[in-house]
Amino acid sequence: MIEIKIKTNSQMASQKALIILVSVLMISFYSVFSIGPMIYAFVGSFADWNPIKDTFQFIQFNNYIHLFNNQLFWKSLKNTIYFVAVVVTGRVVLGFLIALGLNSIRKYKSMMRSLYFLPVIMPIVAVALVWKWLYDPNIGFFQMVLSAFGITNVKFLFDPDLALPSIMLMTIWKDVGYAVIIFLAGLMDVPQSIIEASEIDGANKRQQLWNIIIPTLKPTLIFVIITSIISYFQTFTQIFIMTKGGPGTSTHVLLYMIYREAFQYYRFGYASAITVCLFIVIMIVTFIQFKIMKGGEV
Amino acid sequence: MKKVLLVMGLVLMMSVVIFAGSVTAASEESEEITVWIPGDEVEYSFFYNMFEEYEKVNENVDFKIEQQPWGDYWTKLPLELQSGRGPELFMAHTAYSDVLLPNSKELPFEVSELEKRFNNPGIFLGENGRPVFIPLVYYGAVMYYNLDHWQEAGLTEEDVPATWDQLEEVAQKLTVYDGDKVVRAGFDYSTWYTMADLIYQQGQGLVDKNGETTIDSEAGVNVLERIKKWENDLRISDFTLGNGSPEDSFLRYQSSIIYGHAWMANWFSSTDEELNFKAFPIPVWSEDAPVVTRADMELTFGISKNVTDKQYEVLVDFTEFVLNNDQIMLDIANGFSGVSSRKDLVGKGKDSSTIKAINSQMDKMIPMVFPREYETVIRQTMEEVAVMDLSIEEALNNAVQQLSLSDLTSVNYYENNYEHAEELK
Repeated sequence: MIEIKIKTNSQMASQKALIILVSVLMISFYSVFSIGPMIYAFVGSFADWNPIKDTFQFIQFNNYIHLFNNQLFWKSLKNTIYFVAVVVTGRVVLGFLIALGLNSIRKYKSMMRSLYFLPVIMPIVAVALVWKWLYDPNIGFFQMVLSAFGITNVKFLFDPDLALPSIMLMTIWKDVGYAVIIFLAGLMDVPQSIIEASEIDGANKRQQLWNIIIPTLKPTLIFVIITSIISYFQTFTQIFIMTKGGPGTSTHVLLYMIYREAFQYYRFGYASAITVCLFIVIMIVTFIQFKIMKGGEV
Repeated sequence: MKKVLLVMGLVLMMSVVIFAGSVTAASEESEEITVWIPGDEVEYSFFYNMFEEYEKVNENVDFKIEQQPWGDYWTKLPLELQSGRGPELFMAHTAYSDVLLPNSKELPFEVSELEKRFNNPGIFLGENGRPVFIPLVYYGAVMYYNLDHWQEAGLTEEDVPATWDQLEEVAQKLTVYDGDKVVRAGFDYSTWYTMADLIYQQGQGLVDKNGETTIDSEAGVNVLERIKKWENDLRISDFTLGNGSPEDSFLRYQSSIIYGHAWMANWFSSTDEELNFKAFPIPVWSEDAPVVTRADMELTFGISKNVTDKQYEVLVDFTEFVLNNDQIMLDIANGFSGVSSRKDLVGKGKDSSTIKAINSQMDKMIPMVFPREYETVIRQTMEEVAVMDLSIEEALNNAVQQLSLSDLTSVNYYENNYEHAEELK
């Protein structure tokens, strides 16, 4: 009995040591690669900072004052919010509908699941380049198809009204598979007994969907929405590859603006000020979502 | 006798051993230099050849050339140099000189000495007043036209336009439509330097004496009105065909005349042997235009601040070797279809319509180093008017606002030092 106690103590001690070691490593990692740079960027947002010329001079709130007076910032913010709203809605609604469809079929389920997930694992750079060609107004695939129906002169990425929606469509196509897989996993957790009981009570499919399936899937739904919003606020690659913010500024989003200020003009201070604003926007949106989650007792 | 032979044999053996040792030491001392260049051997054959030529006469020097994609190159290079990594030697560019200069070594040459043999505009100086980058070639914008399209439209050499009004007339004959759509533009102007040049042609500098942009001046408004005329009234252009790169629409046979650049001549020839084209000088707003276009330049390769003393010694010698070698200098000038910066080589380039066009407008070319954001904003402004249908006033207001943080001193400097500076507003 005593021997066992001694063993347990030593096990506990080594477990404690392991916890401390892992914690220290994680804290160090996040301090160096996450928290440190965040603090540095925040401080830098108050400076005229050009690392190439080795300048770092505090200029108080000048970066923020200039930013809030810059029409391009507001345009980029508006475009970012528009992009997030449409793509998140598209991904969630379409993902949910496809998952429902896949859940109801018996044959080829795993093959269809793989097909929908395939674009998710493709590199975004490759996908953006292929879609750029598809959208080409002269030699692109979509133009060829539309021409067959007598529709010509659709400029897609070169049309200020169509450019951002075209990128949104590509993004939804690429990312919807992720939502499908998550929703499918959630649907498998819906208790079959409740569905069967509701059938006996005379509930139709729509009633089952609204009163059983969606409430059961609420945590999954909220997880997909929150992660999607956070990632789409940081959209950059497809904009960079497909339009470079153009035509004009019609596809300018905040992250592209940050890239341009930091790595083309080397105005790191100004770019940091935009980053801080983006961080605050994402924080507010996430906070609101958590509040809604709590309200819904999730 | 035997003793003498033995001693001689020993001396011979020792000599062989010492010689072999010295050879080994020499090879051990061979200097490896990493070079970054944003293009391949087809595009920059003359630069690759320049390294080979130097290696031939300096066997202890080994250039390790690392090719980087153009798009990444200019973002990566300044950051790598600044962080102490990056190449020892690198291709430079005027548009990035402000971020490359702080991390490049000065050359131990006297500017006054260089000026005796080289045309001065564009010698970039370091903190101590010594040159860092020296121009190798001057070149700039020219117009290209597709000879087959030209002949199909019944045009001859006599029809080559000298003014914008003449160009509009010719372009109308060249434009091809499919219903409402322009499928072959008579004229593709969609590069940012169309607007910059046309402002200059009206005698308006691009920066005022306070260092602020003049893009919203009367001249700027005139250019944008002209662009609207090309797009909407005459319908000789469609910005989206070239979308900022008229050379692309030209290579796709979707434009007949383009606002191009001298460097494109060799690129067109190597990309499509069947493309039948010629160049002519940039048309002018009026005959008394003080500027026709900007003069760009290609520079000597930059030496990183991080090189060792030995590497620096080699790279200074390499730079001198290039500048003093007639054939290399001419190859570079011909490669870019420009005019050599060396006074004694001016006019000795190959006989091509592009080089002729550059030569004919050379005295009205303003040497200029444009900040990158000015280029971006000009292009954006053109797009806002031509593609987005924004009002000229709104587009120009956006441009002024975006340039308010930019340092435009380089534009001011070059405008003030231009030969016909007194004719610029």
